Amino acid sequence: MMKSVQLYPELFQRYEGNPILTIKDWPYPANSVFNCAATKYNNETVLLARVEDRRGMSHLTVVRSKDGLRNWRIDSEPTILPEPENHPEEIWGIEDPRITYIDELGEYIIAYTSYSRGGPLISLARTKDFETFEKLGPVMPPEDKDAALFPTRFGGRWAMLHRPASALHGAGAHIWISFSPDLKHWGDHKIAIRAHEGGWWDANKIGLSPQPIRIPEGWLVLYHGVRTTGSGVIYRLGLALLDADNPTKLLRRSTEWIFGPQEHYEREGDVDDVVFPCGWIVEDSKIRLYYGGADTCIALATADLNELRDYIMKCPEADNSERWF
Amino acid sequence: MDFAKAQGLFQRYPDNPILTSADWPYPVNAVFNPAATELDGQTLLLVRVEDMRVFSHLTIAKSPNGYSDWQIDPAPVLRPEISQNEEQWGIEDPRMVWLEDKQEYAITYVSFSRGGPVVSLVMTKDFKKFKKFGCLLPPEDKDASLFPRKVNERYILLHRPIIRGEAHIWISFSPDLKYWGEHEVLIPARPGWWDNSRVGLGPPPIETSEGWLIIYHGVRVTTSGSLYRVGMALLDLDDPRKVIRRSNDWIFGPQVDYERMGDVPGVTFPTGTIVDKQTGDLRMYYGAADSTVAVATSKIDDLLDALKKGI
Repeated sequence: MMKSVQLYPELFQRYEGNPILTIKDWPYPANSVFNCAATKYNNETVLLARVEDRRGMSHLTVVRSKDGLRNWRIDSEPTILPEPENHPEEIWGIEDPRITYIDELGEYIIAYTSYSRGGPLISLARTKDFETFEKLGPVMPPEDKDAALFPTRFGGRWAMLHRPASALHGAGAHIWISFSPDLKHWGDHKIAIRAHEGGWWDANKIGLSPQPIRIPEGWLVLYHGVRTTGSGVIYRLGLALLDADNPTKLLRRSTEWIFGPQEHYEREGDVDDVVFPCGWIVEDSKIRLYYGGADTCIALATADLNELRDYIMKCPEADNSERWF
Repeated sequence: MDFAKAQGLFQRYPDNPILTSADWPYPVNAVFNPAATELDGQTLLLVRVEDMRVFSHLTIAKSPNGYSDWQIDPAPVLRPEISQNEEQWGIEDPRMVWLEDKQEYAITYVSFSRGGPVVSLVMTKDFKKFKKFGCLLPPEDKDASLFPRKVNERYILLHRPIIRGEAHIWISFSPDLKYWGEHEVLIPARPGWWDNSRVGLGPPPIETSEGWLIIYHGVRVTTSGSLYRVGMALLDLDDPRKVIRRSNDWIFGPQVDYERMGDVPGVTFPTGTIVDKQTGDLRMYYGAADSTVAVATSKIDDLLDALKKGI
């Protein structure tokens, strides 16, 4: 008799209409659309999509939908362009935005990667309406990527997760947390979530995916782990939980990846085997996760927030005994 | 400016190297890359000392004339601290400035963490008591110094993040020494030139009538290793984001045995200067081949002239 097979729980379900946005939908010529931030504005789902042109440089374009599933309305031209004349750090494009709505300010803060002559770094911009944007300039020197703000202050200070990288062999790339009194000057840098070592799916290189979201248990973080194989890289996703009041403290972390490239549009594209979410939206405990597929298209997966909460609370408690920072 | 003139801008002290591991009162592998200042009429060097694990700490050496009769402390003055997680693999390459508004010395140094090298800050009034402030910027970053005073109400840091082997000198600003922002490339490496691979700040910026004088190192990677040479630049006094001048030529580089041979051959690495404000005489302290401390002299006016003439 066949033994029954124990399956991994599937926390996220792919939308049957995937990919939801591709370059064929675009109102102007471009190479690819992928890694998009996501939020709600005016009762609509707003995506801020990374669009790569044929020079190889990226800009950001707003896409809107009433139900967050279909009938997307794409801005007829780029919404946020790199402006190297005022912002030299944007010389080779702007990429991978994350949006955090800051209730206290009544505005959205966008963290994105500016590709500077000295390497990728993190910049911030603010908007109230997704029509006018104010760029706040670079907030971290290179190399740094994959940043998002927390929606609230901690002890009066803003906090940001981000992913600096050291060229030092073996140092790895980890998720850091930094603090600011004014959104402009940042300090008190610490490692929040460290990449595993050795044979793990998230060994050596991890990074924040969408903006952190507050759940009763703390801050829920979805992050990507990069595994380097003989023929490239695999980007997969895991969950982590940071302390509600002290987000420098890692409480729990999934040992296994929970979402990874499986479908054709995730397996094959400009960069094969990549799922890369930069935004998620929670409504009535339902999550819509928007992600880049293979650096080529935008796809959607849904989950139940309560199931994610149950899952992370069953994950082992983090071992914070050996801190690097 | 011809090559011979450029070569003559700095004179090596004839009894170089002035400090070696053989002088040290306790067993060490190498002594190099010192920060420099004057204290109570003496020259004080804060020397990077590498032990046999190849972890570094900092030790004070003092001299009445800045060249000889060095008294070396019997023990390290700043060690990597276990409680500072980022100092796990040592502390290196200090630069120090006397911060007028704080009436304290501010020492920026590299903490060698498991997550990569980072720039850290420690403050002292008397070189006896020190207060560590931890890292100022995330990794990877090195070769940092503060300006000796605020400019337009803010502190300024020059530093050298490194990205996939390429590295430029960056400038950042802070209202309080703790939170930093408005990062910009200040002096980039120049493809094809003597400073093509990496550049990094040398000693702290020197305030002159013409602007902030910057002495920096440029690295050229060759098939048999790296060459660390020295160039200079001049920044606008009121807006140091503006580079007014930059030397085409390197003005100092490894030429003599103690610079050509050592743990890392071909390295001249200046990290501290002392300027006589009356005469404009400048002493530049540098690490030679990551093995010893040496000193070379010049005059501020000669350096500024050379920059103005387009060296």
